[in-house]
Amino acid sequence: MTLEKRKEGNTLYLTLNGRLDTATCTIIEPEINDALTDDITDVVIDCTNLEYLASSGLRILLSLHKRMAEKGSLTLNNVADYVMEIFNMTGFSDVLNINQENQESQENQEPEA
Amino acid sequence: MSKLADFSRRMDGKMKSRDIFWRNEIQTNRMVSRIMVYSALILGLCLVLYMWGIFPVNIDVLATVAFWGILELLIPPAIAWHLDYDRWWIKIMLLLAMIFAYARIDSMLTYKVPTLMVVPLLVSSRYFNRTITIIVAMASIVVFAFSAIYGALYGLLDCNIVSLPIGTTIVTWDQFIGTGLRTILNLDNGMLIRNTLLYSYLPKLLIYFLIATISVNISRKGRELVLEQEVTIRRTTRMESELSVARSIQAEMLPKQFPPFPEHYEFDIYAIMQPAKEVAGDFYDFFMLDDSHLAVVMADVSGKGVPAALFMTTARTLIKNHAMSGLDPAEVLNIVNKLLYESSDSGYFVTCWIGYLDCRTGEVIYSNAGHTPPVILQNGEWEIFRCAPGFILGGLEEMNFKSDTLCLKPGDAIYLYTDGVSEAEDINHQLYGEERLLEVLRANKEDNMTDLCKKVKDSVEEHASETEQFDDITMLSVRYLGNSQAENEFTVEAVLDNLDEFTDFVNEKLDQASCPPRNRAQIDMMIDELFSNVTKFAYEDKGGSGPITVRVEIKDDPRRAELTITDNGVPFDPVSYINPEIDKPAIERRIGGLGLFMVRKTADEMIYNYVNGQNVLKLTKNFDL
Repeated sequence: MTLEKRKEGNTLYLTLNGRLDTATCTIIEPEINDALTDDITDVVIDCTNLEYLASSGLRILLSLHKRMAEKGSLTLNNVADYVMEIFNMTGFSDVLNINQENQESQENQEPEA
Repeated sequence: MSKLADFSRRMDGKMKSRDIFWRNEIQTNRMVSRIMVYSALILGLCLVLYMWGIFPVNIDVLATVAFWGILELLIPPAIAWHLDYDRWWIKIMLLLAMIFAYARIDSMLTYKVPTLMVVPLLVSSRYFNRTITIIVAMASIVVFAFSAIYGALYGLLDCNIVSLPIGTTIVTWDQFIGTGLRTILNLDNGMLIRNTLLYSYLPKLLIYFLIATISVNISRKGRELVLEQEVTIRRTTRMESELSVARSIQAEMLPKQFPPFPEHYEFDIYAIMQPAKEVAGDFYDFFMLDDSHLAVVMADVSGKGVPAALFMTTARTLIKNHAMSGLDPAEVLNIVNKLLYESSDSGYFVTCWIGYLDCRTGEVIYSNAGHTPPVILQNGEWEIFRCAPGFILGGLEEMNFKSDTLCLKPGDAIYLYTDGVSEAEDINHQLYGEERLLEVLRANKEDNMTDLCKKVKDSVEEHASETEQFDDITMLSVRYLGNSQAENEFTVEAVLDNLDEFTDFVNEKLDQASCPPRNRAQIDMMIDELFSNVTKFAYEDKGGSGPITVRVEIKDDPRRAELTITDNGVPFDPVSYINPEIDKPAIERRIGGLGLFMVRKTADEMIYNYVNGQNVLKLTKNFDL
């Protein structure tokens, strides 16, 4: 799991690569919290290379969502189908701002998804 | 006045600083008070006897003496009692009152009570304070001199000290001698006093001097003894607390973490050492010799106390070091025997059973140095394993121990113990014995080693419940679980750091079976949730960690992966676990139950069983077509 951080104006761009599993969550969470300075109003997470996430990953996203809802937005981009399934299953898809439209991911889509 | 109060406070402080003497003084105050009350009662008795006419004394004198005497003998004890005997001056008040009261009695009854003046002196020596004893001696000498003079004039007249004209015949009551002789014979007071002092007081004084010397000596020696006793008590207390520290250090030295090697699924091991009150020399030990050999040691050092404990430490280190260096059990015993023999002038020796379990085959190489034979579970029954006993370690210089082998099949077990188990006595001196031990072992064949050991320990303690535990209760039990773990099984210690390794193993198996990436991600998620659940909750009350195993099986029709996840933690059924907040929208639920919810949603089948102390969860995930 790696986390890339990029800040443009008041927007924080995060890229999650690999598996956001329970073990890596404990490392990722403080990193995100550190990057989340007070002047940030919007967070955009690129999920192109996010292989899967577990409930602990959901917990991080939820707390991030709650924090950003007060002053701006949290957007997830390029969410892969399987990850989307998890969001659907747990009802997170109703709450989080998720964009699936991505050329690459559409090309790679599983046929039965 | 304030100076006096100051002095008084200082004296109280001084007394209280010497705690034992303070306690002693209060006890003695109580004793002196009691004696004074008895004296008052005796004085009262004198009055009664007089009324019956048995006690012929001058009634005027007797009445005065009894009145003042009883006051003097009762009021100070009453004051002392009122103050809880808890003032520094109480002893002085009591002793002086006693001297005056006795002097009164002495002045009345004169030659009838020659020993009375010794009493305050004797009593004072009970304070273990030489100064007090000397003061009382002086005061007694002076006060009793006055009482002797007074007695010569008004008390019972001792005819032995009166010079009478030759030929005088006296036929009368004492009472009348007193009143009669004085007036009839017109005795000279000066002569009476001189004679009394010379013939009665002086001899008493000489004897008194001897007794005073003894009393002073008693109070001084008593004080020394009390001080010595206090030092001894303090030293004993310190020794006892040091011994109890030694005992816990000794117990701490033994491996205590269970399961000790979570990565080793081939055996289940548990051991208990319950030390007796005194440090002793029992010990168990176990350690891995290499990746596939487990060494177990059970030993008992002869004797008790610190020497036995020190000897045990030496023996344990020697045995472990030599076993680790690659020697077989008999060779280890041979060398350790020689070393212990050389270092043991005091005649201590050790009995020891040592065995190496080959985790791959179940073969045990063992050697016995005079230790109680182990009990072995083979062919479905616990039996005493009658192996060659061998001689003790440290007894003779050259020994030639033999190694032997026995083979454990998966499920077989060895139970090792020391005589603290078999020789635990009940109140009727009935030994616990092998029969009872076998009974408990046989009744709990199915238990894991932890439960088994605890049940035996409970049984021993129940047997000896009304006696003090005399010997250490030491036992070790190991069950060979077999090396059935095939290629498709993987065991790690359930800590989050091992999650990657665990998932990698599963992914490798899935990739070999060309599992679609989507299903792989789903399975990974389920593994993640279940693994992290075990790390968090399963071993909470077992010291926080233990093994977790996964078996991956790929089946066809439909093509699917079957994963069996096993742990030894607290029973937990993830299938029927109900999230208390299930009715709320997922996003509002406590996140804790979310993982299991996701697993249940994702799995095609989930079966949970709790067998042989293990949580066994079987997950099925069908592959996408």
